[in-house]
Amino acid sequence: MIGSVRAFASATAALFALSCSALVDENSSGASGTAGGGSTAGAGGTVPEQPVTCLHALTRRVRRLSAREYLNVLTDLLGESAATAARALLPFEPRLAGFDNQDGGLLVSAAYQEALFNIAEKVAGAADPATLAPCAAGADAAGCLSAFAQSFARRAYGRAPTADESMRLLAAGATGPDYATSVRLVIEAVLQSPNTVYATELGPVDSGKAGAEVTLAPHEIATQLSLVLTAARPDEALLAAVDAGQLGTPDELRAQLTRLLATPRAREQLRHFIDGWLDIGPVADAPKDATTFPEYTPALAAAMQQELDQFIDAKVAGGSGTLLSLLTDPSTNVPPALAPIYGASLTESGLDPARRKGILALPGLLAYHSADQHSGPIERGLFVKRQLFCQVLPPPPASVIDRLARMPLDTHDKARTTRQKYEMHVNEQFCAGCHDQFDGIGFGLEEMDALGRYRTTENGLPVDSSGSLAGTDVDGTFNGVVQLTEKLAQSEQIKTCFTQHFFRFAASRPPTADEQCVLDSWAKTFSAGGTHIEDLLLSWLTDPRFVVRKEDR
Amino acid sequence: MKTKQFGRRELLRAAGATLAVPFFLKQAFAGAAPRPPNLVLLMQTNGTNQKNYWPADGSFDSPILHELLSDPVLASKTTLLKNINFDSTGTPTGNGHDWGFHGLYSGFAAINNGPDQFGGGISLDHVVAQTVKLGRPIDKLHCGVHAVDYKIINAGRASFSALGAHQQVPCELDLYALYTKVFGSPTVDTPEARAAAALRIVQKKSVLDAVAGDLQALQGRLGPTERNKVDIHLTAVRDFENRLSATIPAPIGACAEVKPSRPGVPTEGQGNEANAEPLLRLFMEFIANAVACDMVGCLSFQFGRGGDHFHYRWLDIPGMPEDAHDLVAHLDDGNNPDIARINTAIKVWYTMLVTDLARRLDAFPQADGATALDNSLVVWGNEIATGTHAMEKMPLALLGKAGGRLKKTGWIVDAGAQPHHRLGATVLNIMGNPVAGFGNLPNCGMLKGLELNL
Repeated sequence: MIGSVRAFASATAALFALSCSALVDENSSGASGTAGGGSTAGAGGTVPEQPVTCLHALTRRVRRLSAREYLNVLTDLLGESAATAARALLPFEPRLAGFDNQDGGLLVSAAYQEALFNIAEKVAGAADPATLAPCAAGADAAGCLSAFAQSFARRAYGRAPTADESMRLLAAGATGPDYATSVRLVIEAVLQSPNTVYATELGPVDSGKAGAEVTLAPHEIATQLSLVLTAARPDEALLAAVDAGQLGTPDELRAQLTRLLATPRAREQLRHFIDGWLDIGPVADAPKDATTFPEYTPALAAAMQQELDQFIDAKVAGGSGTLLSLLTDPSTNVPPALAPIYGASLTESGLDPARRKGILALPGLLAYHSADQHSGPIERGLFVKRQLFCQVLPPPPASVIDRLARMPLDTHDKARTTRQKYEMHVNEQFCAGCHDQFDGIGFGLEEMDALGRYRTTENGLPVDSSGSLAGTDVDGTFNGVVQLTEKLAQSEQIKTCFTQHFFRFAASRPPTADEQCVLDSWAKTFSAGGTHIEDLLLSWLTDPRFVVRKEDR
Repeated sequence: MKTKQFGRRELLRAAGATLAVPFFLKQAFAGAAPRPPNLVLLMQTNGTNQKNYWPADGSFDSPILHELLSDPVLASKTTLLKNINFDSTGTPTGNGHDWGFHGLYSGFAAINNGPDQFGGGISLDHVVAQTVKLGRPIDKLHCGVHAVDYKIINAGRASFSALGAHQQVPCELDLYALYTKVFGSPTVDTPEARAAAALRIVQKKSVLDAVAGDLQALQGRLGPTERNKVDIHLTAVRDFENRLSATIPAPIGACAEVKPSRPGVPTEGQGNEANAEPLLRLFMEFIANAVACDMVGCLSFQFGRGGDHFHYRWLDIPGMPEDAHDLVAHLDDGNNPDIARINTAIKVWYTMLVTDLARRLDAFPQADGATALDNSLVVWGNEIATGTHAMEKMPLALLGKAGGRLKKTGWIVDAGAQPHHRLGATVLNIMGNPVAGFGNLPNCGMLKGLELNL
């Protein structure tokens, strides 16, 4: 799973040092400006030689778990059926910047609290106290209930409940007329408790003076580790380790990292990261005009989704995979339903690498990033610039509306290709000022239609897939998705941008302006090591921001 | 309030053959008329066709509003607010969709950019709920229908309801869950059932007390910024606890039997264009039921996400593009007859929905002889003014008489250009909160020209 044991040892040693000594010193402000600490090159698992400490830590916070994280906790506590019942009761919340865990978008509003109440009541009602909290006939029921509350809350909170918290749980349970009802009431209280609903990043209870830097409590560190790797609370093995004080040495932490990255949850979590990087939601959500694309059925969308998910899982490979393999690897497991989409590109030995390679050539991604009636060169160009290069492109100016009103685009026009319809952007100086930045990318993908099918003609006219990149570190011309992919693979900006997405995913917040130095350092390590995703994980886990916060009281 | 008697024939005509008011519902309104008025905030998106929205001089009818204004009773209870301009004090980020979606009912400028763009302050629904004693089982609800706008860049446009800057409150989409929330599940009223309900309240309160205790313990460990999050959470817990206690011991009578006229329409948040049309109709029915049964004090509703991308396939409008947004929200400058025709056809459909809501409300007699519409204030707004992202002459209408607090209805208020903040200030005053301003214009005053009886 992990390529370099040495690298892990270095990384975890750094984490150990951070969590135990230097950064709890309130006098070590961390503002020394040592951005871009050196790195040790190596194939996978390359780590910084020392943590980047170019700014203060951010303030302590509580972050509400995302719906996905909460449902994972529920699954661990009461099984998949409980999570299934709960899923439908949670209000819809949009992802921010592609990720569902962003602190800025997570709040317990009245609607959310009501959902938590309803979920708790429903799943507790369906729970079997005899299985969850067995209590032999004649045994001390109060003792049984107390033991159950303790163990159930421990899994939900990621730590043992305090004495006060236990008392509150038992007080809730005490209103039950019988043991089974009491167990259910305890379950309800635990599932709605802020100790379940939030991940705290506060440090020890009496952590220090205002402005001081504090290190998170050991159980908070374990929860942070578990959330970023598995989108769930620590499992029993991690809990047992931290309870026993066995998360402090590099070897102990390495063992947990390696173990968690091998879990199905970690695979899903890393896929969530890649989906966010690529701005992909469910493929089936991408609207397609039924008249133009009658073959775009739910079954076809599901096949596209399946291929996309499997491709990501295979290339990410539990963290040991690379960004470059995501971008350039031609091997993919094609579901039978996609054979008509691939057509001649699909041979007995796989896909023709001269025509398709990498994730940008997958039908699922091409279909998602296109328009509902056509290939959407503008959408695709914007996608590449915004998501892969992290470039901020302004919305169209107000005056563009007048021009559009005078020159409406007829998407039903069958006398021209899609490219020809949009080439007015290039030919009109007013439009070209902005569209030159991204239209050329989309034009270069015109060989792939809105369902990701290779084509040489459109409306009976030859398709022109000559494209260009501008405003990047790999500017120049290309023709088709394969050549675009090869150019992107040479770009350092792509790697830096990928790092920015990862920071947001891992930290559950956008980077501040002051944190550019951190991103630069991570990107340098990431690129030098061959773009192994595990390097980014290690950058995060060894960064002071992972375990250090500033006292805000 | 003048008494109005409804015969069965008139009720059926008003409500339509499939909209007949159940007898048991009428029975439910034997109690006192609600005070303050029920407030409904409707948010439409993508603007309107200005020429076809506003009545011509000397008239009180228009192509877009014809369904509503051609009904003399409903017309007499409608007030059009002309020359209200969106005021961009605070320099909102994004474009008109963001400005109006977040700002029309908050008075604050949209903040941040890209995926982190959200409203810049508390929205009117929450201000009302926090400052006015509404006296209903549920103080407020925010709900709506989402459609096919699936890209993440517009996450902030998922809901206009906000507790503060960057504190978006989810838009509740599950119509059927909302019925359960508002009207509960049917129960048998027996002594045993009442005893069981009373026991349930005790148990659930003990659970919520434990939750509140944990929240208070957490509060004490936090600095001011993070404490605000937990404060909001704790308020939600306490409000829910109060509601639980208030509603369950007191049966809500015949209104408990209210249910949607059509079951089983999927309500998932994304990509549900195929269900948008029936859902929007069902939501009009729901709003009418919730308001007429006096169950919700402030109900806010969005017809779609901000700058929504409905396709309106069900309207089958000749020449309609696949995505109506770009056409109606960008290109309708009034000069292209084809675009104006398409935009108008879409907006006529929205008027039919709102008229349906108004008819339903007006079909419910209440204790003082007035109707639920008379005792309500329905604000029908739009995030932008016209299909060129213009923000002047926002299409705004008030339906109902706000329990008599709207002194004069059935006319167009036009006192010259006014900032949209005055709408919020006016609504708050009508609801009983005598504010001097709204949002980031704390002294803007109320709408001029409107005749009120406060």
